[in-house]
Amino acid sequence: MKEKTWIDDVDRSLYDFRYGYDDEHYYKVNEGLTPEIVETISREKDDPAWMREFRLKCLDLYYKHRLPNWGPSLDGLNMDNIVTYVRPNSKMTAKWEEVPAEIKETFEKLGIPQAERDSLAGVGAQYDSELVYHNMKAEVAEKGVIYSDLESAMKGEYADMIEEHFMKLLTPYDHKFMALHGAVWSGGSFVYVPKGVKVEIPLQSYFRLNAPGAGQFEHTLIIVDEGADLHFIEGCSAPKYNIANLHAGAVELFVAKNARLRYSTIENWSKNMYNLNSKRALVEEGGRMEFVSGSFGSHVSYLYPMTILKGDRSSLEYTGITFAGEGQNLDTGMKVVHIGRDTKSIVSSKGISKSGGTSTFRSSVEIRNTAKNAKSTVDCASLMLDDISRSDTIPVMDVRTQDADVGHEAKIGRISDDSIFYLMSRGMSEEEARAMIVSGFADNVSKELPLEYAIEMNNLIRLEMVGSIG
Amino acid sequence: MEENKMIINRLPMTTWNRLKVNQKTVELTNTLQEAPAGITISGSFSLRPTDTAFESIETGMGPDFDHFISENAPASLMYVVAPGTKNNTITILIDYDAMPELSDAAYVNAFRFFVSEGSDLTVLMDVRGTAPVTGLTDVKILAQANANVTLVQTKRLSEAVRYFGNAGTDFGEKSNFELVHVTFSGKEVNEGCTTKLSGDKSSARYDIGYLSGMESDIDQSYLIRFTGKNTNGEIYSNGVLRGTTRKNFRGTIDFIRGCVGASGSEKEDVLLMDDTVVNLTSPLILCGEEDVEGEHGATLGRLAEEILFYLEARGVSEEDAYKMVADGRMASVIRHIPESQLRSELLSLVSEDETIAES
Repeated sequence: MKEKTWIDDVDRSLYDFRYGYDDEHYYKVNEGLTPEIVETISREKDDPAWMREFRLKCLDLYYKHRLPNWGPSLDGLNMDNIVTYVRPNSKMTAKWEEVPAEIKETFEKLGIPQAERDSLAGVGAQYDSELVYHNMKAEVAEKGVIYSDLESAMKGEYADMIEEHFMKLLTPYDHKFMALHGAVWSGGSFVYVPKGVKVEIPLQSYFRLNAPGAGQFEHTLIIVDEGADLHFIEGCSAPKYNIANLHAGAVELFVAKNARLRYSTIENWSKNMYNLNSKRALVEEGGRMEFVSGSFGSHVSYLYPMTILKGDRSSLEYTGITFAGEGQNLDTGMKVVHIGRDTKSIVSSKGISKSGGTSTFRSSVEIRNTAKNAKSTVDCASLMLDDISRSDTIPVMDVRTQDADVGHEAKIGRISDDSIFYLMSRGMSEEEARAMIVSGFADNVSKELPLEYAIEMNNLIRLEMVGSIG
Repeated sequence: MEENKMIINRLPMTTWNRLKVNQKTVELTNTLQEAPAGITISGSFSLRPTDTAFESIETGMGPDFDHFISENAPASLMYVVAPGTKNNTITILIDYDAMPELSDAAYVNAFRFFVSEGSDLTVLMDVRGTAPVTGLTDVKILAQANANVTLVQTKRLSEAVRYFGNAGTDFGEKSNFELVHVTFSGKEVNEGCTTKLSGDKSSARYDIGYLSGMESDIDQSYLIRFTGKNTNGEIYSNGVLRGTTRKNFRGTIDFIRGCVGASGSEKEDVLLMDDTVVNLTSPLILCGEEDVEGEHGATLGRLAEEILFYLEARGVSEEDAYKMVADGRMASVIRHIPESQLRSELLSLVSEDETIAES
């Protein structure tokens, strides 16, 4: 009898470490969601008056919105049990030696200070609800680039710019969890790249959620001005607990005329996380948005970065991979709306399902009547690694002009015996052959990442094989 | 289901509500009237009371429509094709213009076919009409092992006709199903077909072609569900949209755990002839089995530049090039109709339709 080949889950031991938290070192609000809790958060954060009112308005909208009637089940998420604000009792600093030891150790283990020294122009590190570290290289600051925590920026020189843009692209009217975000958001980064400035090496924000039963609601606002260029990297992880954690962050990206923004994410939340994150980009004339997205963690994910190609000749390139293992239901994909003439979108997505995991690719491509000569291609491929998992593809195309070319291709299947045989006939073991095929399948994302992050991603897809061809 | 309101053509796995593709809600307030149909039979048939097994067959339009039919126009008889018999053909002509004039009436025809082991069946259903009527057809087919079934449904409708075409089938081991849907115009055309490939090595192929009117509303739901081992299913859809037509295509290949060795594909090509059309396409692949191969592809929009260049370089105007390609797309589907006279009539209808070029 042939023995089935088993492929192990993603190895999360690198990320699954935790430190206790106590009242002496941490402040937290009560579990649940009430106007009093929202007002407490607003007071704690010393919000300007408009923000306090905005939070309360969002809370009202949260109560009015219904849960989505599509997508993975959210039955295990009970907002009455979620702590929406937890912060360490320490101030944000620009020096790692001033970060509390346990927290510093966490980020050391995650390799953030090392990456900052080696390959980043700036780093923001958030622990639970607040940033604990934020710094940028002097030479980048000298070009006029602003990279700071959002709260500080909201009260400083860029206050008007933030008020003009904050939750204007992603609004609390969009869905229930955007309204929740508006009510309890905390942390996140503000980036402004002035006209014509090209930031040669990436900026990175890393979000670590340590507290059990907590929610993280960071807000990232990036404005890349005319002709400017930026690569921003977002990383996230958490230790695993046996109660639900929630991540409902928001990322608003404004790409001005002829600017370019690459936004890369390696998401590795623990398997008790509900990852209900929202990302949206608005791209002006000749601008270019690039999303590189790797989704490996979470118990449930709803994640679909949306790009609005408003300006003529604006473009999107989306490259993504999702790996769903045991106990995971990862519903990921993208949305693009073509409004300007000669706009272009290229989408490449890969999904891997194993050990009973469910991976869903969900997309929408909308070509408005104004988007003359628009071109869009979507290519998605799914790999099933066993017969107890699921992989679904749910794309929608809405074309409202004759003058467009829209293409879509999707494939689903398993690793073919022929491919295994071919590689084994050239001297590889079956395990090596399978590992090579899976790595090659994920290559579209890893080759788009800086080397250090490609290595991290490959670590995440470290697969171990035993047995023979199933 | 609210009174008179039905949800039809629901996606088997829904998505963002704002896209308005998940389902269609329709209202039918008309009094149902069974439509006299011209039925010609050749081959080995018998008529028997409808088997209860048909009740569990899933259809393209879904449970609301099934309930509506069972409450209002149940098919009490089924056509049974004798075991091992060949060359069995039933021709059904439904001409709404020939119906008695009734105000506030909807004409309905429901058919059940039981295709016994080793036999074959061809159903040619030709639906026509120019008068402002509502027509409903409901077809269910249960095919045993080694059966071969071809279901051809052609619709020649004016832009006054509201039409609902529902179908559901279930196929046994090594059986084969071919569906050909050809639609011309119609004010509102709602169609759906679900096929369950229950038996190992069974197969299904859908060929769908439509040429819209200038103001049509076309809503489609085509699904092949694979449960048997080594099954094969293919969905091909070719459409030409004109004027202010709105079309919503839902195509799904659904691999159920256990359908080892199954393969499925779907392909949709839509030529948009006018800048005011609305084309919605949702091609789903649902997969709960590792050992399968599934793929889909879609091309939507204008005529490819290289084709246009090729034809224009040979003296064909852009207008004629569009007509030529639109003709070709419809003809590629019509050619799957096994009956020569019907095939010729429809091919003539395409080639003589000057409005294609004018749109």
